[in-house]
Amino acid sequence: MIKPIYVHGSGSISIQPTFEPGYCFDSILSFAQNPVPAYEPDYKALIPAMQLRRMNKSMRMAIFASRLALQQADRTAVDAIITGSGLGCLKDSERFVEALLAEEGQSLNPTPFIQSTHNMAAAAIALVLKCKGYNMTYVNNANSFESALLDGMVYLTEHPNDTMLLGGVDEAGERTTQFWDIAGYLKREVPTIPTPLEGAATPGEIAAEGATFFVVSGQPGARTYGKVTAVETSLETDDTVVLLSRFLQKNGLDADAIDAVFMGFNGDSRYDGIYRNLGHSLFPATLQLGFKHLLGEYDTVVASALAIALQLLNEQRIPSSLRLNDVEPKELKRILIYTQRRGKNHGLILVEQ
Amino acid sequence: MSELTQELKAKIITQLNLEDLAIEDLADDTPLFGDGLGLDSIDALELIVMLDKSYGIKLADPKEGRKVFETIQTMADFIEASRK
Repeated sequence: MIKPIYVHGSGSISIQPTFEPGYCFDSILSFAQNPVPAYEPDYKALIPAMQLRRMNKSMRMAIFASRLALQQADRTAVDAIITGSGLGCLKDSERFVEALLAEEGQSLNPTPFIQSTHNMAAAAIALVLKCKGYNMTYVNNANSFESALLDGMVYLTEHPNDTMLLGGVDEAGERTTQFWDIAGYLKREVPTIPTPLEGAATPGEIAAEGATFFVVSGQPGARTYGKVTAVETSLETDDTVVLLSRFLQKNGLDADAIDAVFMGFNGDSRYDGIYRNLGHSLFPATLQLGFKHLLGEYDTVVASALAIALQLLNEQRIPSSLRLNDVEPKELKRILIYTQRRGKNHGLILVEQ
Repeated sequence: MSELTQELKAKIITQLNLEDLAIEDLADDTPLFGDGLGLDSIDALELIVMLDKSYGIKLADPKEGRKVFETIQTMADFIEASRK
């Protein structure tokens, strides 16, 4: 039986200023581009310059976000590190492959090659923290973070006294974005953040990037500010209503027991109907919240939703920018997060006070 | 020669992402490794690739690199000597 994991700290970088202390989506940055780059901090505040010079964007974002999580948890070390990343260090991968073609396999720079792998962020955190423990990276498209979370729960069920850094990171790559555009994944008509979700919704996503990390353990502590009690993924499903109903049933809950449901509406008119159908069928009297219309789309953006859910559980207030309906819950004790991407990679995370 | 050392400084700063350094901060005789600039083995590989790409010089003997990459000046001397 997998046990809940307790969250003691979190740190997040996204296209909104989520790394700023106390930020909670009361003011929203607007964008009219695709992809949208992360709103980045002054990395030098937490990462030495000589380390920073050889870190690509994924590594910088991951290390900064994990440093913030450690600060909040009042920790300087962890026993294990698990990350999820759909596309890994994409820019260095693109740089390496382009050089490989241009130089016909000769005289290739070593740094982009070394840093082109998916597990570089977890490795870089381990080097910085001198953590020689369990180090794992999950690469499962838009379920990469949920897979990392599931492994974290299994690990901490077996090692409840250990503390772990667990997170998700993805960066936008120029060449990959061009491929996505050709494939029809991206919005072509005036992409905007915040993204319209109802009448003005158009086909396609707005690509973005970010990193969110958590300090978690198998035991509650003085700084615990929430727990993850269940995680589930499904690559494909015929019926999302059945998928969610079964998930709730497995956890001994019905829809009324959920105080708020976070859904991954991203303004893509082709797939947002999945969320709309769920909202009507299962959660008509439940507070519905969104996050991708403010943060854009990338494989591990759901990690940000978990950070926001934990913040809402602690602050017991709901910023209007996140609201999808006007339902007022009596209190916020239990939040369900559900996302999918392009009709696949369905992920469910249950978060509780 | 001075033109070459200036060019090398600019290339090294760019290639090795030495964001905090300006060309003026690098003296011709600053040791590139150890107590000087503090470069490491991955930087050494980057410098070998740079010599090949920018100046068409392949460093056949890796041991040779230790002397060649001692300072900006030794690099410039090596490039000049290879051109003759």
